[in-house]
Formats: sequence, structure tokens, C-alpha cells
Amino acid sequence: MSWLSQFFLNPGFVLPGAALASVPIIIHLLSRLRYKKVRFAAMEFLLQSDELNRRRLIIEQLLLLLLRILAVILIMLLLARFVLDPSRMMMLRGATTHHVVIVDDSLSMRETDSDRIVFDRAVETLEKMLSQGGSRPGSLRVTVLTTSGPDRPIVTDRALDNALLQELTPRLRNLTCSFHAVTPTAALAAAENVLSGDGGISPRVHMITDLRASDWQGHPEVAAALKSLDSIDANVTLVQVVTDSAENMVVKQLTADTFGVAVGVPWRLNLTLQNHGRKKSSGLRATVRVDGSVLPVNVLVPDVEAGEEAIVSHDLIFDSPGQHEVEIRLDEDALREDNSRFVVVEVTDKRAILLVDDEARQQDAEYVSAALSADPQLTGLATEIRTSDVLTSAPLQTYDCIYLLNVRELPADATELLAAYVSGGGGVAWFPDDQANTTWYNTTLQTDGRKLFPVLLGSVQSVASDVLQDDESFLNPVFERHPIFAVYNIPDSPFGDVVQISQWFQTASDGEQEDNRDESVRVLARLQNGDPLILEHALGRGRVLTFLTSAGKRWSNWPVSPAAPGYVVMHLLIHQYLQHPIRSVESRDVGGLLRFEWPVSEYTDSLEVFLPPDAEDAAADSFLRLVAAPVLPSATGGDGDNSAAAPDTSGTGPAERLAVSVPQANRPGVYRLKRFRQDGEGVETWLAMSVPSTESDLAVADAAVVEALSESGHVRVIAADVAGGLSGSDAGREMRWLLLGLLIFVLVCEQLMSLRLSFHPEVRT
Amino acid sequence: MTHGLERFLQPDEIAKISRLELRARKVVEGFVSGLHRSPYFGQSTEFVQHREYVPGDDTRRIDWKVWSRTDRYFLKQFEEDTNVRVVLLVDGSESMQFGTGSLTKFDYAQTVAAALSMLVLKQNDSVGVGLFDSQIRSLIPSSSRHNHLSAVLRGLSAETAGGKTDMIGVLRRAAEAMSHRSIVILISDLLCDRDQLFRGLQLLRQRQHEVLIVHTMDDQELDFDYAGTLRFEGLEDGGKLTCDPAALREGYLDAVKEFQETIRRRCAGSIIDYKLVRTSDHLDAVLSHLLNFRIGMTGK
Repeated sequence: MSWLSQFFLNPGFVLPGAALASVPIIIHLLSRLRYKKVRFAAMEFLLQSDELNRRRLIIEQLLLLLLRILAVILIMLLLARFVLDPSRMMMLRGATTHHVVIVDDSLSMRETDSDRIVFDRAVETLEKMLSQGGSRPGSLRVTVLTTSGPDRPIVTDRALDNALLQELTPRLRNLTCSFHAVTPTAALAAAENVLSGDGGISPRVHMITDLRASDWQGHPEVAAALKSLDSIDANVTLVQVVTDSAENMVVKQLTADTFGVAVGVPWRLNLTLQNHGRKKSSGLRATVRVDGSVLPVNVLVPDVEAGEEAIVSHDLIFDSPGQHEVEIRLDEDALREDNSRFVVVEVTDKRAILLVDDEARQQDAEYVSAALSADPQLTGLATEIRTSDVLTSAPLQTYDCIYLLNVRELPADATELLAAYVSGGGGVAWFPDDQANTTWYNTTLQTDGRKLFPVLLGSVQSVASDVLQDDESFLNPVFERHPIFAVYNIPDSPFGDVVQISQWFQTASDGEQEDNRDESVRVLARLQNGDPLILEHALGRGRVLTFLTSAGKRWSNWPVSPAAPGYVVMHLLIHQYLQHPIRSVESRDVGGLLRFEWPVSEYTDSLEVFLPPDAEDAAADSFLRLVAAPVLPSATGGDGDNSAAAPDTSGTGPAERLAVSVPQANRPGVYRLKRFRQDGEGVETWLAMSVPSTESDLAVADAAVVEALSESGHVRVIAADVAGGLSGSDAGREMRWLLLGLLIFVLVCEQLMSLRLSFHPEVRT
Repeated sequence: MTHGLERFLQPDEIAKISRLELRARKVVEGFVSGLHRSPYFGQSTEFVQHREYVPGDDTRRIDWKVWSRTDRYFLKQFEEDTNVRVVLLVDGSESMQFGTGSLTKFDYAQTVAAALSMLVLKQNDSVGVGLFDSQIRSLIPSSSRHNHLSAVLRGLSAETAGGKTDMIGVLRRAAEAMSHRSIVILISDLLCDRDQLFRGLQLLRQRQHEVLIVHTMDDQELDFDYAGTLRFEGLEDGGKLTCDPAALREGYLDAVKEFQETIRRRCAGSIIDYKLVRTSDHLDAVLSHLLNFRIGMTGK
């Protein structure tokens, strides 16, 4: 009986209908057996007529009988809702139909419904479709692929028979849903590639999907992919395994000002929560896990209106150095996976900041040091005041950022190392004074590719007392909106007005046209007379802040009262803003192929990976040892994949690099990756991978809207419950009208034939 | 079924026949005086009765003695005052038993024969009746006696239809039995061998007999208005056939039409009068047709 469901939406009508088809035959036989006897005289004429017409009569009666049987069968087909598209019938189209079945294994398919995930239902549906299609060996070919791996089909263009079913069944049952955010576009394009190479076959695409609105509606590329399938005459059936939208709350983002923090210093974590449901969420709590242990204090989540976001801050204090894994986990809902999010933070005893001050007394550095680490217990910062010689003698990567105070000029190797430090993500703050060698600043630091200084330095300017009112000898800065000026950007903030600048460097480019100014340089603050005072520009992955006045009190009152409070806050924010990325920790979303790349000179080719525990498979590997392979250096560091290109700190330009991929990094959690320097020292990078939040909107698309994506009507959405075998289950509407037309035609023919074969005496008036 | 006089001569039939009496008498008498002048003309053998004069009667036969007493014209009628002999041959075979209306073909043939006999006897002509199937089963000799009608009716009612038709044998015997020139009226459905039929008729014609055929057929035999699945069983061992008659109707009617045309054509060739009658036709219409037919013959 089950095989009937591939042809009929109401298969229960089929067998009774087939039985009814025999009724005309039975009536015909009965009428031959049940007759009236008539004694007749003119038999010779009757026998003569019978002899002449016998052959024709038999043919006509058989034809009439056939028409009546056909009428009954057509009525049965209409009632049973015959769904086979005649244009796709084997007889009409050729020997084989090629079905490409795509299983949606995107993250949203992990929605829990009736104690099991939707993906399991999708696999069951796939098994049912394959097994029903397998009842006709030789006529079907099949390709099975997933949306997360359209380039890695489970089966490619195989004849669907019992052997394939036996091979596929265990593989399908071991199939797991991915944690990836994927759109149907790539899978549909892969299906088109598979089918477009087949000539003389009937191409059909089936996608077993949850049909999320976020994937199917409002995406022109999806409509384009469907149109491409239409161009190769492929019918697309979307088998919908979810019919109702579910409420879902997601931890959309975990952010912090820094991911490097000192022991005992509060670290603020910002949680962005979004309610994808239709109702307001209330009473939710989030648990915090640090290194797998649940903290006793929960995060209270405020009420979130439907479709809205909320940001909640939570402070954490770490009492031991090293990398720490932090997980925020919401109460469970329809999609459990997006309730958790991971982040990794590097905790050190202190955060090191290098203050280079070439002025003899290093008074300016003292002010900065006092601002940053007046009480190291509170800020967790440790400043190191040195002269510029340190730039060539100490590993710069160990510092969060570098202050360059009163530097006259640097040797070439120091400049090179400094450029490499910034390019690799480090942050530098310049505070030149009147001993600066402007020629060096304006030439060496302006070299293409390592432009460490944003503008050409001009002369030192002082406030001319005659142009100032009230004989004031200073100018106030005017601050733009910027993270380091948070204290000055507060509305009606009194802190900005008390900052007094008496001397500053004028830029040599000030006299040039504004159009000629480097667009990568941003002026963050100006003096009242319009001269730039604080500038910012980027070099590589690093940032450079340039103050055109001194850090101490020689040229301004900034470090002393009453401007000192703002000075302290600003430098603490400068540290956060310039802080070198923490190389030992990283966060990203699950998806794509995880790939690492680094210079040969930095690490060996060995990579050890400690995988997070797999909740679904306890026997899964927890440790991998991989070997990286040499690759040619690329400017982009990978073709759009999830590659992590370690910076080339050698400063020797493009060099031979090693790369390795970690295909097992496909689930959320914290991965520990260990590389080894040439001297054998192991360096760990902790990678926190969380599920993408783009799959969290569980709203189901309107089937009619999705079907309307194709103007030609070759896309059809059906429920998984009525999905039949691979050879049918579509084009029902067209068949209905075709069958109805055929039925009318048959009935008209039957009437005409009956009229011809029966006698209707004329009415005598 | 009664076979008495009342059965064949119902009052309404008699009334209808009476209206034909005047024309029938004229036809018969014209026939006698015009075409078949009797060798015994004027010689009466036995007075039978008087009959009131009607215009057209021979004035020489007026009984003037009666006129002198009653001042009205009467004619003297004598036995054997005619030279017209009519022989009615009625088919009594099994096929004549078929009928779908109120009368079977045999009933109808009996009625036609009785009516004609009465008409002939009313004209003082002699009439004889033969009933046959494979042989002549009863034969009422010709006579013009006034009480001969009851003998004719008894002869007609004495037998019911049965047996097969042996037309040539019957006609041969009838020809041999008729010594005088006669008018032979064959009332039959003619469902027999056509060649034998016409050979028999030819024998009658060779002996100078006038032959009239009253071809009696039932409505269903002519129209074949059957419907539904039927099993036809032939009379006179005509065979059996189960069929949908509607499907065979066209071919059947063509065959019947061809049969009629054959009979009509061969009758014309043998100078035999032919009249097809339906058992649903009224008797007066049939008799009128026959008498009109005789008028046409005398007009030649």
C-alpha cells in the first residue's frame, strides 16, 4: 500500500476504485446472462443482420466497455488525487529520472519538537522517499547531499536499488545535523551542477527543509537558484518538515572591551539577547560557566519584547592567570544550541604597557604611568618606563600597547620592529615634543607600507597672547565622538573645558588643500583655532594614535588638576583601544572550514588540537594531531574560508607559510590549538566557537510565497507527511484538471457510443 | 380465445364492413359483368330471394309483379347467379402465431378471410376457404349459398396456427382442386422459401386464376422496436440468437426491406396483386384497399 502514496495523495481510494473498475465488466456479463426470451417469426432477417454486423458489434461493444471502465478509473484517480505529472512519466520522457535529494542540515533543523530534533524527521522522510523509490529498480538515479556540504555529496548519481538502500541506511542513520548557518542557495546550485550534465533524463530536485522565512524569503539569490533549476527543466519539491513557527530566545553576541584581563580585575562581559518569538519573554535567567563550572550567580535577563534585543552586562573576576573558558547559557527553548555562547579570555597577573620616553627625566612617562597604574590592583595594568632602546631588545608582542613619548628619532631596526608590531595588531600612541627630529618623522615614518605617523610635522606652535582674550595663554581642545573620549563626550561634560593646551605641533600639511589630505587619517580632536591635536590612523591590523602635544604638563595642564580626572580615564581607555589583540584567545562562529596559516619561521608544522566534548557522541575524538602543509603566501590569507593567518612578525616580507585545516572543528565549544616554536616551546591558542545567530529566527516561510518564487510553477511545497517516493508527489493540480478534462471527454464518447448502439424510437405525433 | 362468429365479426367490424357494402357490390357486380361474363348469364336455377333495386342494377331482372303490388322495384335473385369464385388461402403455419398487438398474424388473417367471405357471399358470389401449413389442413369448398358463411367461419376457427409452411405443395394441391377459374387470395406472412412460393403461384396463374397476396406482417416484424438484451427463438425452427436488438435493427430492417422488394418485384413480374398489411391496420382500410385495387383492375 505504501508505494501508492508516491502517486496518490489519497491512496485509500485506489484499491476500492480499482475494484469498481470491474463493475462495467460485471454488468456487461450479467446483461449477457440475464435476458428475456422472445419467440420471433422473422428470424431469417435477424440472423442475416447478425451475420453481417457481428464483427463490428463486438468491436463497438468492447470499445464501449472500455470507455466505461476508463470513466470509472478516471473518477477513482480524481478522488485519490493522482499526482503523477504525465510530462514526467518514464514512458514519455526517457528511461531514467535523476533525483537530487537535498537534506537541510542547517542549525535551525536542530529545533526540538516532541522530544526529538526536526533533522531526525527529515532523515526519516529521506529514508521513506528512498525506500519507496527503490521499489522500481533501474528507473531512478539518485544523488543525496546536504546543505552544509553541497560539495561533498553522500551519494552521487547512483542507481536507486536495494543494494544502494542497504548501503545508505546505516549512513543516513549516522547522519548528524550541522551547527552551521547555511542558505539553500549553494545546495540548489550544486543540484543544478549535478543535473545539468545529464542529458535525456528527467531531472528532479527534492529539498527536505524546515523552510525558514529567514532562508527562503527576501533572498533574490534563492529565487535566482530556483530559476536556474527551471532553466534545465527540473521540478523542485520542497518537503516541509516544520509547519509552525516556534518561540526562540538567542544569545546573539558576547562582547567585551578586551579579552585580555589581569587577575582580580573585574572584566565586563556584554550579552546581546534577541527574542525571535511572537510573545514577550520574561523571567529568563542565564547561567555562567567558567572553565565548565557553573558560577553561583545567574545573569538576570530583562523582559524582551517580541523581535527586540536586549543588552545585559555582567562582571567576572578571575583569580588565576591563563586562558579561561566562559559560557553563557540561557534556559532551554525550541532551539537549544543557540542558548549557549562561548568566549575565551586570557588572564594574566598584569597587563603590560611599554612607555618609551627619551626625555631625560621621563617625567611625561611618569604621568602616564600614574594614570594607567596608580593602583595596579584596580586596573591590573603594569607600566614599564624605558627609553627607545627597548624597542630592539624586548619582545614587543608582550605589551598590550606602546606609548612613544618625546622620541627624537628611532634607529631603522627599531622602526621596522615597531611597524611589524603595529601591522600585527599592536597599538601605538605618539606624544612628540620639541626635540623631535621632524625630518625623520616626515620621511622615515611616512614610508609606504609602514606609515607610522599620520601627518607631516610642522613647527611647534604656542598660543600667542595677543590673539587671545583675557590674556589667556592656552587653547581648549574640541573632541570628536570617540571611545577614548567617553568622559568628554558625555553631554555637558565639564572635563573638556578644563583641558588647556599651550603648545603643540602644527602639521606641515595644514596649508595644503583638504582634498589632498590622507583619508585614512582621522582627526579626533582639534584646538579651538582649528589646528588638529589628536589623530588616528591604521597600519595593518594595528592602530596608531598621535597626540600633537606632550603627555606631561610642559605643553598642557592635562595631567594635573583640574584636568587630571579626564586624563586618567582617557589613558585607561587608550589602553583598551590600542590593546594588542590577544593572540592566545579567539572567538568565531561555527561554519566553514577552520584553517590556520602561519610563517614557517614562527612555528613547526605540527598542530595539536584538543576538541571540546561532544554531547551527542561521547566516543568522538577529543584530541587530534595534524601536520601543516606548505602553501604559497597569499595576500588575503585564505580564500574566504575561516582561516586564521598568523602575522608575519619577521619583518622580512612574504615568506614560506604553513597551513592546516581542522575539519573536526564543526561544533560549538572551546578548541585548544597547540603549535610549537622552532625551539620546541608550545604555544596554545584557545578558540571559542559558538553557533551562528543567523539561524535563530524559527519563523516558517509562507509556502505560497516560496512557490511564487518561481513564475513557471515548477516549485512546489508539500508537507513531509504526504511526501511519497522519489518518482511522484507533485504536479497534482495540473493532473486534476487534466484528469477532469479526460473524464469529460470519455463520458461524452461513452454517451455517443451508447446512443449509436441503442435504439431510440421516433416519437410519432 | 373464442372462435365463434362474434370473434371475427364484432359489431363494429360488421358496421364498418356494411359501409363498404355498396362499393363492394358495385365492384363485384362490375367485375362479373365487365370482366368475367358468366356463361350462365340469365339462366337461374333456383329463386332465392328478392333484393331492392339500386341504381346500376340490371333493369331486366326487376320483378315487375312485385312492382305492381308494392310500387317498388325489386330484383329477383337466384342461386348460382354468379360466375365469380373466390378462394381464400389462409396461412396457418407456426410463424403466423407471432403477434405483439391484440391480434396475432393468424388472428388477423382469419379476420380478413372472414370479412372477405362475408363480403363475397353478400354479393352472392361463391367463396371457398383453405387453411394450410405444410399441407391443407381444412378446406371449405366454394359455395354461394346464403348459409355458407357459417361453414366458412367454422372452417377458419376450427384450426390454430402450427406446423411448417410447405407453400409449393399447398398451392399445387389448391390449383389441382380448383376446376373453375377463380380469384385466389393468399393471406400469409410469406416466411417460406421464396422460389417455392412463386413456383406455386405460377401454377395458379398458369391455370388462369387471379391471384391476390395479402402479406400479413406484425408491427415488430416491420419496425423491430426491441430494446435490451433479448434471446430470440425462431418459430418453425428458425434458430436462436441472443443479442442487443438495437444494434442489429438497421441490418434487420434492410433485410426486411429487401425481402419486401423481392416479393413485390416478383409479384409484379407474375401479374399478381400484392398488398402488405400490418396486423395493426384497420380491417376496413384493408378491405377498402382490396376493393379499390379491384376497381383499378376493372377499369382497364
